[in-house]
Amino acid sequence: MNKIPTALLAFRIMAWITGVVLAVASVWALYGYLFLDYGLEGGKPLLYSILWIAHGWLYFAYLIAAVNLAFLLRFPIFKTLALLLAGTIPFASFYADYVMHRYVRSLPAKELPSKEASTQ
Amino acid sequence: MRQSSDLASRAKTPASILAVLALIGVCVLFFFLGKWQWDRTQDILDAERAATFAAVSVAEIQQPMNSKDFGRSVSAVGKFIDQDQVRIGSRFSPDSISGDWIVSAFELSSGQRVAVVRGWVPKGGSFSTPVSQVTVEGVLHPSESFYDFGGDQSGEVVVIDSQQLSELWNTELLDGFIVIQSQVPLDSGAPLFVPPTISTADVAFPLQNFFYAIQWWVFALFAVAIYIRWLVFGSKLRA
Repeated sequence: MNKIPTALLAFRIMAWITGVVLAVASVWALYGYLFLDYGLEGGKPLLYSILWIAHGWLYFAYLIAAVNLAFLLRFPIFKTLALLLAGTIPFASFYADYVMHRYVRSLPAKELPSKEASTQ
Repeated sequence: MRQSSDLASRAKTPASILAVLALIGVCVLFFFLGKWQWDRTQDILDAERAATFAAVSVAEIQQPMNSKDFGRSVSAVGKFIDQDQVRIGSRFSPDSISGDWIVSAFELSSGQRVAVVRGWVPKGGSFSTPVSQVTVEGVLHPSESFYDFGGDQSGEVVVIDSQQLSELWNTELLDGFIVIQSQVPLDSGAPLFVPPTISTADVAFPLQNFFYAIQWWVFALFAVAIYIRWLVFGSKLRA
């Protein structure tokens, strides 16, 4: 059984949900700190805070999906860390999703590592 | 049994030992990041609690001032020091009219002194200072040192900073300053009271700080989980 397509799909879903929430929260933060008084204590609306908290928990799900995929693909440590950090940088997770898909498509079917491991 | 001894041998490889060291570093870092957010949460809640308490005498405030006392209601009995008063320009009245704030040294019956914002007067406007003993109540503020951009070439005071005022008046002052909200007895020529700049009483629960604290700690546990998975995954591969 090849687990990579499922892991890739799970990663794509989390990369997009986390990415959209992070992008909205970041643009909102930029606007709030530049033009409104978000720098002051109690200056932020509730929804704004909830969005950032949501990003924290979504990022946790993103981590699980990303680690799972990185393990299946036998990623070295720094590549894995880069993949994990992509969920914390605005818009980086969309790029990570694109790169991961391109990478998996480029693999010859017989070289998919998890296939090799499961047909021992 | 075979698998567990395999796991143990894998845990002893240099790569694994490096990973454990990194793991410990990450856990310690995340623990303190979480604790920092947790302490912020507690400080905000403490300040809110303190701000809703009845006024305490300013002499009872711990020195140097702790952030949990910011925004606290304080009272003081004593008198204004007439010669130690300063005007701070470009400050707003309760109706947002630009004018001067009158900042004075206030001497408690114990002899200790504290800086107080008496209130607002129109730019250059006059005001009177009672000579007899008064009771004032107000909100405790930290010094405005964050505004200090060193633009006072003329010797003009632009920020309310107890350290700076203490040098100006050549007298010891308690930390921070009080923005007076009531004064008994009140003379007719007194400056107009201004609302406190900081308010810690009606702030919302610090949701973000609270959840960030929990999230940092969850991430630390997750790092441990990844390490274990990495060990198990590697040993399965070898099998």
